[in-house]
Amino acid sequence: MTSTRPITVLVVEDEPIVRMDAVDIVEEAGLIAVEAANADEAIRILETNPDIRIVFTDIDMPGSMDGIKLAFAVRDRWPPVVIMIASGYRKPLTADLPAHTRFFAKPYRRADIKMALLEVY
Amino acid sequence: LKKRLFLVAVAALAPAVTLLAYNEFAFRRTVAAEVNARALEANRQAVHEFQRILDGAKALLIATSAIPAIHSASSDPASCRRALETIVKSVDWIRTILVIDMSGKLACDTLGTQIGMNFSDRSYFAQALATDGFYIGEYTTSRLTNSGILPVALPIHDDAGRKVGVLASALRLDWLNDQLRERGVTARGALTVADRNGVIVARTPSPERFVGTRIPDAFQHLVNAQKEGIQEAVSQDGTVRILGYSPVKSPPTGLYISTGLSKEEAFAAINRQSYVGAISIGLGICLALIAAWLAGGLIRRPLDRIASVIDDWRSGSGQARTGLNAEKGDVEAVGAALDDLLNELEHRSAATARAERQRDLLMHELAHRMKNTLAVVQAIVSQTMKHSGNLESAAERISGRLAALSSAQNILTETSWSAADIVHVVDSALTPHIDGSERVKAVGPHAEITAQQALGLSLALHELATNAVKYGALSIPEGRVDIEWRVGSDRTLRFEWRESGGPTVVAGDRKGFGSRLTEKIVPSYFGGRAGVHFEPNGLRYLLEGVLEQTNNTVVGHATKLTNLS
Repeated sequence: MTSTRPITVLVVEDEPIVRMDAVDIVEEAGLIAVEAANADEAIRILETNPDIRIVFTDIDMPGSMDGIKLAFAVRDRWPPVVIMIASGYRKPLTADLPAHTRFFAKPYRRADIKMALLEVY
Repeated sequence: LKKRLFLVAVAALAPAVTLLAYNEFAFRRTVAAEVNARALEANRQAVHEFQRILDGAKALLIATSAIPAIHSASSDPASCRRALETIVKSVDWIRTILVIDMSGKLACDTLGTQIGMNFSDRSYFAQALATDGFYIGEYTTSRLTNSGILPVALPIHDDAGRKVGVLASALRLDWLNDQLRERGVTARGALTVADRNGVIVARTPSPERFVGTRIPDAFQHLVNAQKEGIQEAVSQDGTVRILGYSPVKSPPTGLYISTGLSKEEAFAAINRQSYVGAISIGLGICLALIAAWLAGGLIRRPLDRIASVIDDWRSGSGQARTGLNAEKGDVEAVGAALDDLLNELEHRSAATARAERQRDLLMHELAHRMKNTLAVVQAIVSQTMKHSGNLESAAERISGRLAALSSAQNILTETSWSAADIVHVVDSALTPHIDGSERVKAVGPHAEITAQQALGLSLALHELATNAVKYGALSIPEGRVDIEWRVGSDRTLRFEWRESGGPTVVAGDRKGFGSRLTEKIVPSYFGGRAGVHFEPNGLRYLLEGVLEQTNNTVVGHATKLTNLS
């Protein structure tokens, strides 16, 4: 995967403080962060921003979709996009998640997220 | 079950049937005794009538024997004959009278028979002399007329009382049988008269068939019995009769007389009654058994239903119900009660399951919130650390911010995390900084705000108050703060923090996470914007956004959880 375009990460999280911190992690990893407060907003951003390579999403969010549905939608519509899920709930069964989805339990270690982001490319 | 009901029905009927059968038996026995008595009585009547006839014959012979012409028959047959003719002419039941001398020779008669004809071989001649009395003879075919007769004889005595001959006559059997026919018998009954040899001399009905024949050997013992009696017998005409009989030895000596009552006729009434009774019993039994069968069905069906419902229910089909109507019977009432019980059980187990599910959801939700809170704490800590010059100030800021977070959560805990009153949130957020101070005045309407927004507002107020106390209006005694908010009908929020009377502050003094929090993060809780303005009177902070519609977040999360799992 080589690209001249900047690698962009879409952070989807309804809690503003946590979202801001996640954005910080992405930026500390040297990537570009884009924010969405819910899944519907995330879909709109994905539709307009082709640079997004990674979606880093929470599960429990208001709106028509939660993080799981968003993950399936992303895997369906943008198959190459890497999906990372973080949640305070128990880890869903692998069968209940799209293929190649990484799960992080909240609260997560910033270093783990950073590492995972860097491993993608 | 049906079989058992059948047995119960049979057992219940058995005494009744036995009683009826015994009644029938006893009644038949009574009737039989009555019929026997009637037969015997009828026969006595017949005997009596015959006795009269024979008495008549005897009287006739006695009277005749007294006629002088009879005594002088040997010397004057003509006179004797005239005398006899006079008598015979007036008596239709004899044809002639004979006068026989002691040697057995005919002395005179009315028919002009050869005088001197020997009659000594006739039994009535010998027996009349031997018994010295009226003697009834045996069935005889008349030598003169070839018709059946019954001879009778009486010895003749002279004036000195010596036997001088025998006076003989004979009852005309055709006359006798006419008498019997006229007399008649009961329906299908019979009257039989026989001589001492058992040869029938008179009978009704059908004299022409039986007179002159011998009573079958099977009945001869009746003829020769010691005394009168009763006997059931199949007559020669095929009719079963109850016979009342008087043997030869009974008077009138020399004749057997029997009177038969048709058994069928005698028992017709009781037979009819028995028949009706038997049919009634049979019908009763049938009805009882049919009732048992039907009842078996009526009871068994609901019982089967109940049993199958219990089986279904035990095998996990919680919806199984009998559907029986309690008003339709006792067994149905049991079914209906079972339904009620199952409904109650299902209701309770559903309630228990609901409560358990609710508790599970709450546990999950609590864990989830804790982790989210920790995530928030983590974000606050890492952001504070990142923007602080030294650990000391970082520690202080962190503890202040966590205190604000904690106070917001206190309010939310009190309201079950559903929603909080904005008045309460503002008051609680300010309390650590300006406890009881008259210099801070907050004015605004009551309005419910969500947990997240309460947290955001608390953090903003904490940052603003901290800065005001350190650098702003609250850093000198003259300064004051006015907080004012408005909530529009469309739940738009306009929240203003206005300082006055403090030292002059400039933008450059404000850097780092605190300003990022108030100006960027907090407004995103409200889907709006916020800004800090440095005005001559002091700092002014304006937050504009929308208050989210509050709802029961527990249920909201629970629903999502259900979807997840």
